[in-house]
Amino acid sequence: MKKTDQNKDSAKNTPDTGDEELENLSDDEKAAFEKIMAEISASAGGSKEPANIAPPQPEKPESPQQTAAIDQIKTEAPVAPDTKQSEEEPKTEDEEALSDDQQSALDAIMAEIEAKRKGAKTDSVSKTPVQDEEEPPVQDTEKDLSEDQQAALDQIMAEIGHKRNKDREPPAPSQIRPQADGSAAENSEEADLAKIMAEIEAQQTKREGASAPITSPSDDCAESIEEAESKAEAFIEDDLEQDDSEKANPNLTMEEFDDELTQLLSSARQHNEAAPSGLAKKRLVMEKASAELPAENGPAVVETTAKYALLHEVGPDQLRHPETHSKQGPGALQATGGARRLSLPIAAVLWSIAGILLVAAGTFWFYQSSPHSGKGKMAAPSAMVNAALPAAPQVTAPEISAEPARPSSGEFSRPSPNSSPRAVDTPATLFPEMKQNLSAARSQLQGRMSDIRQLKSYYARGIEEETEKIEATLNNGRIPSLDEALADNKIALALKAIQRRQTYIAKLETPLAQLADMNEELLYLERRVSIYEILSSGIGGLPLETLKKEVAGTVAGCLQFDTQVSIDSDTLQPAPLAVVWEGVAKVFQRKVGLLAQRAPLNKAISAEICQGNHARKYLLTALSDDTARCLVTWDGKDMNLNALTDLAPEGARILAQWPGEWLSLNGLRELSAEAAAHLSEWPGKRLSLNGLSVLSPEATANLSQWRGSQLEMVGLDAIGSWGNYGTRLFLSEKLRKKLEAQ
Amino acid sequence: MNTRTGKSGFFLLLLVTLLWSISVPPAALANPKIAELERKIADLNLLHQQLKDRMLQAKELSAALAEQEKMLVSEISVLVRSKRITNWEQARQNTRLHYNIELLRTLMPYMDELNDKLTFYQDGRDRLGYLRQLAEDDLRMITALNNLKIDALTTQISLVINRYLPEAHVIQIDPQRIAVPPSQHIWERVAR
Repeated sequence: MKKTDQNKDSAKNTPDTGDEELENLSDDEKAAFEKIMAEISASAGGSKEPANIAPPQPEKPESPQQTAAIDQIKTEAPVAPDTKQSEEEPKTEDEEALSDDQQSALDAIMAEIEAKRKGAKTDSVSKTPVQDEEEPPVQDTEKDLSEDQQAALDQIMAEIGHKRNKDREPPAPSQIRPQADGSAAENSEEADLAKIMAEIEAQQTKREGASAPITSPSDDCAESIEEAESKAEAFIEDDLEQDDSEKANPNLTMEEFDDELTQLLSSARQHNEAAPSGLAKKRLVMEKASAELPAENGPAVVETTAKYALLHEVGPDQLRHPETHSKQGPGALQATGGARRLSLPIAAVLWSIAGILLVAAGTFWFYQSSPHSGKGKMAAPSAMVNAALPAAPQVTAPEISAEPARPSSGEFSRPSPNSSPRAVDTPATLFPEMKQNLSAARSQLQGRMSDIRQLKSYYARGIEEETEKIEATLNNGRIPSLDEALADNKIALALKAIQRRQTYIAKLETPLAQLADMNEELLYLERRVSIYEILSSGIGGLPLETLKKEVAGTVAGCLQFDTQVSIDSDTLQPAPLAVVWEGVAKVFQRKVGLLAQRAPLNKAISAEICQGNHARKYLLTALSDDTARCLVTWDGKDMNLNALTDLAPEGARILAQWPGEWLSLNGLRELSAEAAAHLSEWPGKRLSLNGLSVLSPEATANLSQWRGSQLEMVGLDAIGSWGNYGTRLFLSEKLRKKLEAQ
Repeated sequence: MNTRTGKSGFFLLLLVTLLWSISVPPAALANPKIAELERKIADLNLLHQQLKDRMLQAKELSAALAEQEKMLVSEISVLVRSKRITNWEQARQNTRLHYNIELLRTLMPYMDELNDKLTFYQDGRDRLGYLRQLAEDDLRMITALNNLKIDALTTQISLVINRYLPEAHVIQIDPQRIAVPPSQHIWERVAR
């Protein structure tokens, strides 16, 4: 190598000796000279080479042989820069930059050669004969170069070679590296393949970016194929140049380079299933590129690059167009960097969430396990923490009893709050609702019952009136037979009226009894609801749903019955007129018999009273007007006439004139409206009518006009509207509740 | 950026560790038996209080039921006197009497159950108090000597707690299992 350079330099240093000296050189020397010239021309490289070399030419006109020799050297020398320039016109900037370096290097070389040439001229003028005789020119030149000069020349040549390699494969580290090992050629081959693929991909990406809205994919495919073909052809030429440059590589001999190339091709065949020869391989690559181009998307490229994974180890175009390599290489790195930038905030958020969760878990663990987290120093109960609050006693028992106690070490079993579906929300709403429904139903039934009782009272009073009418028609107190009575039109009509009313009263008994039973049932349910309400406040599992259904069903049935109360459904047949008459006759006979029986006693007592002896007045069973007038003269405070069973209106009017305080008439079973009106005018304080069971609305209205302080009617089952709230009214508890409900 | 995230994560972990170290008492970390006994004592205390609450609740229930019973019985007495009812056959013929006896059939078993529960709760409270005293004794021993077998005690505590725990929040009376006495039995009980 060094020797070769020296030969080159010696050849270059003797231009002025002319063709004569060149011709005097031996074949080996000529070959060395040509090699030197090739090196020089190669180092000059590019389109500027002729311009750079041109200046010395006028000073040294070349002979045709010399010109031919130089042309031969030029053809043998690597022409890559020229071809590169012609093929890779877009890369002019790089080449210009390299040309400047080369230019400077070449200038330095030329200056040195020029200096040597001048030195040689002077030497040749003075010493040429001696030298020619002593040594061959080449040897002379070698001798003429000092060691410093030789080192400088070696350095320059190395720099030229380095720049040339750099010019061909600028950013490929594997190719820039001295290829001392056996894989250098393989790396170069891989770099070439990578360059092709990178260019194809770059072209693809460029087309995708530039003509995204292209509507005709077929045209685009054709263009892509054409471009791929042109690139492939360029690559072939470039590869040939590379082969030539490899030949010129001073580190390898031609044989070594061939071996390396063969090895590289065999390796590439193994990887790519490509042809071993360069052209076939390039064709295959071109076909592959053409086949993959129509895909026009990343996956095809990725697939291709995946098949040629080695190609991505060197990617000059990948470095230039990183965006075209989204999966691997710098582009992929850039994309990864963007994703990393996006992922960083996400990672920060995830870290924060993880930290919060850890804090929460630690806090939870602390409250679960720390014995000092409870009250004071004592530990919190292990599992009763959640159940520490006062229990709402709504939890039902049946499921608990089914599973009495689930003993668990460390964990307390709690009864399920949903064991009774309605128990949770019923206490607040269910019981009041049921009680309200029951109470309303009871009130409605009681109202209906009161109405029925009033009807019965009305019909009973009507019967009495009709009976009095019949009695009034009787002559001399003799009770006629049925036929005689029916012969009398008035008695007959009165009997029919009594018959009809008795029938009504009888028919009303059935619904009244049913209503009374229903009322009792409702009262029972109401009390039962109250008891369950009490129990449910502390005991679960009560059959509340059943109770609710029972209440609802009972209330509905009662209300339905209440709305359908009628006597029409009762098929009770009216009693025959003979029976009715028989009953009326019995009443007449009883009255007559009583009068006959009591008449002597009453006469005696009346006589005593009128004589001022009131000791036996309580034995009076009938009160005549005269006897009444004698009674009112008594100056006592209390008058007890409890044996009286009837009080005529006139007798009531006379008694109302007594100035005492307490009048007791508890023997009366009935009180007519007229008698009640007269009694209401009595000025006393206490009036006892506890024997009355029924009081007609008219009698009630009249009696309510009394202004005394206390009225006792505890025997009443029903009472009409009471208008005097100044009088203290004593009624039975049942009737009082009824009035309160009203 | 990665470094910043790593730093924030590191500080977060540091914070968690600090919180954990602050929250966990050193004694509990030092001797798990102390922690276990303290936990058991806390359980016993809570259950003791809960049984007391149940006792009060049972007493309130029993008092309310007793008031209802009194009202029903007094009404029955009035009816018996007013209607001159002397035997069960007559009593069952009266609707009000019949219903009142039915209500008493509902009331009285619950009152009996509640009385039993009161006894049960009082017994439980006594047992829990006794176990609490034992646990406190052992706790003092462990604190002083740093070693004591507490397995038997904790097991016993667990058994007792599990026995009374179902009653902690609700009075465990199963209405389905309550034996309702016959109506005649109630009549005889009231008529006396």
